[in-house]
This record gives sequence, structure tokens and C-alpha cells, in this order.
Amino acid sequence: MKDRHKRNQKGHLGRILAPGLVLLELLGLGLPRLSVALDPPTLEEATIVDTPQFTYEIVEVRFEKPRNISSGAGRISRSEMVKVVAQGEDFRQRATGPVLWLNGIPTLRTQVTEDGRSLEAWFIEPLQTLGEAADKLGRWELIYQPHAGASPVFRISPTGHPGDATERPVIKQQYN
Amino acid sequence: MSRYFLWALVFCLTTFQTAYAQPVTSGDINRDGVVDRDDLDLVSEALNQSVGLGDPRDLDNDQRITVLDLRKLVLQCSNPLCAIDPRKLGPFPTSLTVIDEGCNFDLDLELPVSWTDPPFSFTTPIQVSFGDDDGFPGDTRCPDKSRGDVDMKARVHFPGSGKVVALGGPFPLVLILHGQQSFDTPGFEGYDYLGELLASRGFIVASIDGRSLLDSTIKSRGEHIREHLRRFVARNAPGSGSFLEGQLNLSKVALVGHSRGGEAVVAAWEWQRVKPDPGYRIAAIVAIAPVQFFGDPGRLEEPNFTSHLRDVHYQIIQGSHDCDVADFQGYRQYDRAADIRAVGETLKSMVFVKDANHNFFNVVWESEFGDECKDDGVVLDGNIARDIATVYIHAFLQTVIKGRADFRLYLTGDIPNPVVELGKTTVAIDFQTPGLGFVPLDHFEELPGSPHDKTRNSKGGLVVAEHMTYEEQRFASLDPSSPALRFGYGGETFAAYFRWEDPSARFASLFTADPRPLGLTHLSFRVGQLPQPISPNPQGQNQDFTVTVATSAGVRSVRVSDFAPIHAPFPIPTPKPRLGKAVMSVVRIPLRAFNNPLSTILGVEFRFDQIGAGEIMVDDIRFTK
Repeated sequence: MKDRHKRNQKGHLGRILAPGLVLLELLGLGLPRLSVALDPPTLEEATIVDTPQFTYEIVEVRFEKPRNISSGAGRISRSEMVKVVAQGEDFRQRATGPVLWLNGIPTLRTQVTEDGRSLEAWFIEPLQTLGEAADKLGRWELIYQPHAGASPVFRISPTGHPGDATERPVIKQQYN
Repeated sequence: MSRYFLWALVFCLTTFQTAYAQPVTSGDINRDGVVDRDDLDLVSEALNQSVGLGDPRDLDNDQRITVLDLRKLVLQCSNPLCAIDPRKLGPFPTSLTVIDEGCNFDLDLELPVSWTDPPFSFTTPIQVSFGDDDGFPGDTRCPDKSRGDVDMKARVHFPGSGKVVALGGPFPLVLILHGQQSFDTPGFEGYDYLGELLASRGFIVASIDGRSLLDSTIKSRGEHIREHLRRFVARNAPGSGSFLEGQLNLSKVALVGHSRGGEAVVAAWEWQRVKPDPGYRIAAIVAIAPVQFFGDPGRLEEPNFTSHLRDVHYQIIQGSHDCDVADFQGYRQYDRAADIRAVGETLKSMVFVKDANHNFFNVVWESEFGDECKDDGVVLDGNIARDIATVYIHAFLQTVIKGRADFRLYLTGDIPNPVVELGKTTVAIDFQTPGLGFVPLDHFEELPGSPHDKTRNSKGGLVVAEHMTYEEQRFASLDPSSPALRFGYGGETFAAYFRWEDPSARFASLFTADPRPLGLTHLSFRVGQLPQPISPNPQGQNQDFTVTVATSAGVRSVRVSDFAPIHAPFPIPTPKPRLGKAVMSVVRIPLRAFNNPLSTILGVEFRFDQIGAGEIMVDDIRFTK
């Protein structure tokens, strides 16, 4: 990830130099600095571990009154959201997580219960978008990542059986 | 005799007092085992008074407290400038109260701020809006939305007793904000260790309950902090009826934030910069293991810009064994503070604590959540981690808020952290003086359209590197193969990369005119080893090299290790034990070490003749105070 700016070495200059030989103008200080290019989060290199006995369910929640949700510097309004509730153990609330990935789409809108046995996550993407992501991926898949950049990550099956981990879960509807 | 004159006298006397660790003597007026500023205060308060025989303040036994007693006392001080141990409680009794105004702040009604930052090419205004985000519809705090949906509660430590603030004010305000946690945990109670200590030293400390915004954003948490500040302004106003009426000095407010709170305090400063509230000024920020969500493409709910702190003093504290903010992403904020395009009067202080984790800086988090790394026995004990943080946070606030030169010595490393001295752990520190006390000789920055010319230093003088590799790179705290770096948390500043395998390797920077303004006393730079999978550095050992300064009076060399360590990367929880986490820490060499400090300086040279091979990065070579 480092930017390297290699230039030719000019070691021979030292042999001909004496203090006070050269004076050039100061470097210009008014130019913008190269900003660091940030990559979007990815699970590409993370090790995936199955978690037998962990389960999850998906609920499509429709709100009578639209919700205000922060987006970038501003806000957006949503009249429906997708809630994922995972059951397991030793979920932990962190500054940088947990991150829940549904079909490759991450959300950091996650909250762990006090006993660490339940994790609630909210997606602002419509259910249709999440389904299309599954189509593209070729499977439904829920991944629990303890915090951004962490590896290994943990795959959760809707039924608790690792063999069902890539099956489309039953999706419930809820009206608030 | 004025108090200022007295302190000037004490300062002069202690400046020329060089003994660092003398045995405790009769000068220990308050019998706490050391002779320090607290003892001086006790003598100063009695100056010109007659006393009885045997009074401990009457060191020359003439039954009168005079400047001569002060002078005798100063010569017995345990530390330079008679500095106290910053962990020691101060002279004020302290009291604790909770200000609870309930859920009566509606962030959704707050007007957006229009944010720009022209020196950094952010010229198109960005409208930043706030709210108690509904992204977590399950949040049950503040269920009665009619009075607002954000709790306004703070736990306040202050000098005084009962609900009466002690004489001696008005006192500066310190606001603390915790980070992300579960809704039911009173994390804001976890900083009493700081609150009580600072109150005993003349600060009023308010720890904010930020649980209403656990479901919200950093940007909104920043505005929540500002709302608390507005309410402290109102409490301080004449006629408010508050016990704090007239007791607060709000001209130099300090903000302390932990984890997500550590970026929220920066957000508060940003909103105050572009849309200032009247009645207070944010003068200092302390970030403990902060996140960096602004500008992170994984945090779509936050603004996509980065902040550049200036004209606010900034301190960052991070543990190497942090398993939450594991990549030390706050290092980016630290690097960007006092950017060369807008330096400002910005003092910077960094403290990197070997083996400290994320949670233990908060006592409640330690008891409720434990060690987030789950590897008991490796992580630094919570009491020790907090003791170390206390030393530096207190020293920082005394330095930048109260102008105390004695506390500054802890930030520079001139006085080691007393906890570290006990062998409990190691810290790597960095320190940069404000703009007027800082003259860069080489900052190594690469700017678009103006790449750094590595054959010239920042003063236009010639640079020569021989028998070694010299490049400009971003300094990355973590090994480049770390998954965390995929998120772009690499370095935010360019530095010089040096690699050598030949003891004749040298890097020389020459000057055509003495670049040092009067009053600057040190040659200083940042230097760090790299956490590389394959490195010529001796594994697990500190690096070293020689610094030579050529002056009109001659040439003189010193070893870096005689002034500061170049730490090996600190170990981190990883399956690759070879790697670690590294920072660039400060080396400060008094110019008097190079003979006559008044001689004309012609050049500075690094000679890599101490360890046969190595790989380090160096940045911000400067003259400083």
C-alpha cells in the first residue's frame, strides 16, 4: 500500500560538495497534498470459518413513518429497511465493528446485546438489492466480521447447519 | 512581590538546576516522598511571613520565609523544573455531581453546518446535517421524543466540596466522551480516574453520557459535544443560578475522546471552526485510541472528507495491543495535524504504549467487557495503562491549558514516564512544538504537481545520500501485508526511507545560511523502524545512528541512542510474531550537544555507523524548542 517514488541515487554529488555551495528557492508550500486513496472494505483475503449452532433470520421492515438515516454528510429517508438478527455467542460491540456482510454487502449498523448472544444489524439497501447481490454471488451468505479488517470471519447458517449456509433463508415481513 | 515574579524566579532557578534525581531531603514539605512544585507552592504561599522555629518551610532556620528558602528548596528538587509526578493528586479537594437534564435535545432540529477547508482544496461547501440517526430503529432510549431524543447528562468532577466550587477559579473545562459500547453500560463513568485527578489540580471535568448517540454518527456526536459546551456557557453566565456560575474559564476548553469519541471531539472542533458558537474556544484535543471514519469508504454514513487540525493542541494515545482499532487509524489524524500548508500554533503529542489494549483506558469497559483481545496475560494491566495515560494527558493539559513548562518535560521525554521507569512497559512518544517554535529543515512531503526534490532540503540546501537507499514513502504503522492496510490506513505523511548495509552510509543536509532563528534550542526529528516481514534491522532491538552537526566552530557528533530510543516495532496480536506495530517517535538533541550553540550551523548529517545494517524512516527534521 505504500507509494514509492524512487529516483536515481546521486551519491557522487557528495564528493564535489562543500557547505554553502547551492541556494535554491524554498519549496512551494501552497499546493494540495496528495490525498490517500482509500479502498472500500472487502472480505477478499479473510479466512472464512463456519459457525455451527449460530443462526440468523432476515426481516423486511416497513415503516409507517419514514426514517431519517445519515448518509455521507447529509441524510436520506427510508420507508423500509432490512433487519438481520443473528443468534450465537461471544458477539462483541467494538469501535470498528462488528461488521455484518449479507451477500457481500457490509453494514456497520450493528448492535450486540449485553450477553453477547444476539446481534442485530440493519441494512438500508432494499431487499431486492440484497437479493440481486446473492444472484451475482451465486449464493446467499451471511458473514460476521468482529471488526473492520479482521480475519478470520465467521459464516452463519440460517438453520445452524453449515450445510445450509448458502441457502436462501426464509424472509419475514414486519410493519412498524 | 508578584506571583509572576516568584514563578519567574523559580523557573530561572530550576532551569539551571541540573540534578535529575537527588535523594529526598528536608525540602519535602508535604512529606510525600519527593521535593517538587507542590512543596515550592507551600513555601511560596508563606513568603515574607515570620514563622516559628522548626517550621519545615524555613529551610535556613531564620524564622522567616524568604526567597532564600525557595532557592534552597529548588536545589533539592527531584525533577528538572521541580516537576511533579502527574499522577499525584493536587491541592484541591474534589467533588462529584451528575448534571442530568434528561432527553431534551433534538439533534434532528439542528441546522446543518457548511463545511469547507480551503488550504486543503476543500473549497466547495459541504452541508453537514445531524440527527439521532434512525438507522437503528430498535433504540429505546429517550422514548418520549416530544422533548428531544438525545440525553443531556454529564458526570462532573470539580475542585470543591458538596456543590460549592473551591476558591481559585475560574477553572478550565475538560469534556470527555466515551466510545461505542452497549446501550446499558454507563461507560461515561469510566474516566473517574482522570476526572478526580484533574479536578484536584484545578480543572472542571465533565464526562458526557453519549449513549443516546450509540446508534448515530461521529458527525452527530461532535454536535452533541457542542451542545454540552453551549449549556456550560449558559451555566457559567451571570445570573444562571448554577453552582458553576462564574466558575468556568471557557477560553481554553479541552476535549478528551476515547475510541469513536476520539474522532467525535475532532468533529466538534471542525464544526466550531466553520460555524463557531460564541462563549468558548476549543484549545486542546486528546484522542485515546480514536477511530478515523471520516473519509473511509466503509463508513457511508459519515462525510467523505478528512480533517486537518491546526491552532488546536492535539494529543493521541494508543496501545500497541489494541484489538479493536487495531490498525492505529488515528495515526492519520495525528500526521495531518499541523500540516505544512496550515501549521498553525499546534502542539502535537503522541504516546504509543506497548501492550496496552483498547478497553482498559475506561474502567467501566474493563469490568464490563474485559480485554477485547481475549488473551489474558499478554495485554498490559489496566491500572498500569491508565497510569501511563494519566501521566501524559495530565501533562499535556497542564502544558497547553495552563502553560506549565514543568509538565512539558514529560511530553518531550526529558522526564521519563514514572510508570515506565518502574519497568512496567515501554512507550514511544512523539512531540512537536507549535508553529512559531518549529523550523523544518526537511519535511519530505510529496505534493501533487510538486514532488519533493530529494536532492534539496526544505531550506533549499543540498541533500546528499551515499552508500544507502533513500526514497520518500508514506510511513505505515503496520506491516504492508496486514489485512487492515487494505482499508487504506497507511501513513498520511511522507517520510524519508533509509536502508543501509554499509557503515559508511550517510545522509547529509547542507545549508547556505544558518536556518535557525533565535530561541530554538534543539535539533529534532521523528524516526521509526518499519514493521516489514523481511528487514535488515536486528530483530526486536532498537536501532541507532550518529548525528553530526557542522558549525562554524567545527564538527561534533552524538549518538541518537544517548537521547532517545529508536524502538523496534511493538508486538501485536498476530499469527506472524515477526511483525509488529511501529511509529515514528521523537528524538530531541539540545544544540549545546554540538558545541557552541551560537555558532553558525552549516549542515546536519546522519551517519549509519552504529549498527551494520538497517531500515528506518525519518521525518520532519527541524529546529525546535
